[in-house]
Amino acid sequence: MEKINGKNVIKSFFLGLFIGVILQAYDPANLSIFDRVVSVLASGIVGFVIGFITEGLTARLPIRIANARTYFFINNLIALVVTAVIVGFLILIPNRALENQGQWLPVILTVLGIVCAANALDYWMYRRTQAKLESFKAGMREK
Amino acid sequence: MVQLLCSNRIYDKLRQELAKYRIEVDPDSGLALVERGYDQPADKLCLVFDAIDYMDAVKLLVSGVRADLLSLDTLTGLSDNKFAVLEPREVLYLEAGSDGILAYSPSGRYSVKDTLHYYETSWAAKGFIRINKSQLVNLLHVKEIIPWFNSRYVLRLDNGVELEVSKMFSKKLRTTLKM
Repeated sequence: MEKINGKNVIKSFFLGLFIGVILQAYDPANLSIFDRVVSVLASGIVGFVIGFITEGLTARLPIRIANARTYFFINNLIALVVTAVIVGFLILIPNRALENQGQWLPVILTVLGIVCAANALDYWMYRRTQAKLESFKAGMREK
Repeated sequence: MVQLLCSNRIYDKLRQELAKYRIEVDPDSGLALVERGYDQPADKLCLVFDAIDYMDAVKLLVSGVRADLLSLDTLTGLSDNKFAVLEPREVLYLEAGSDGILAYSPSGRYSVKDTLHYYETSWAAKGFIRINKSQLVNLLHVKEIIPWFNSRYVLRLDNGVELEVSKMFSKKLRTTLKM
């Protein structure tokens, strides 16, 4: 438990809120402001729960298996599982409004898009880190 | 070298601390550590400190105010009953264990005298950084920084050894590399 990073869980909460706001675009127009706020908050709470579970599970991973490939594989696996759970919920708890309008696919695509963008950003950060390391080493050698 | 202008009690303490960093006390030095209340030599660069803060003066001195004072370009280590002199760039990482401090280099591991904190302070400018409670790594020998979960990293060194950067020290790594 001590390895769990609280900041990451909080970030997941805000990512959930962000996704909730984006998904408002696909909600029926007749929803009240209160319903919209509640659904955004619910999305944030889902993000918080997913973040907490993810942090809890990944904290148990042994550091000896750490390598870039494993890290990105696990990251994408988590994204896949989370998306599958969301799809499962959408199928099991039918939202008639969405079903009737055939709008569930854009919802999934939006969630997938955000998750993919987050992973792409993560990979870019990885490349940037290696570049920073090389730059630091070059600077030290010059000294 | 540094001149000390202070009370006898502080003089002894300062001399002892400076010896750890191989800084000699010399009245002819152009740099003086002056305890508040004592006269400051007009022709010298003076660092004035309160008696109670004498350790801060030492820290300031060894952290680069006069980097040329720190001719700490070598490390003497013991391995198989033989002493060896290592340069900082040869050292891959330093580790504190039950047997004391060990310096790892491509040629083997050596037992060294000083503390991790000592090397953390005096070798920071040479690319050494603390990565967890018991290890100090030479970033010049880091081949890859592997991100890991829970804000941790793993550093893969040139010789294939992998070291963990704990959550507590990952921020320091990011700051050092301006990540």
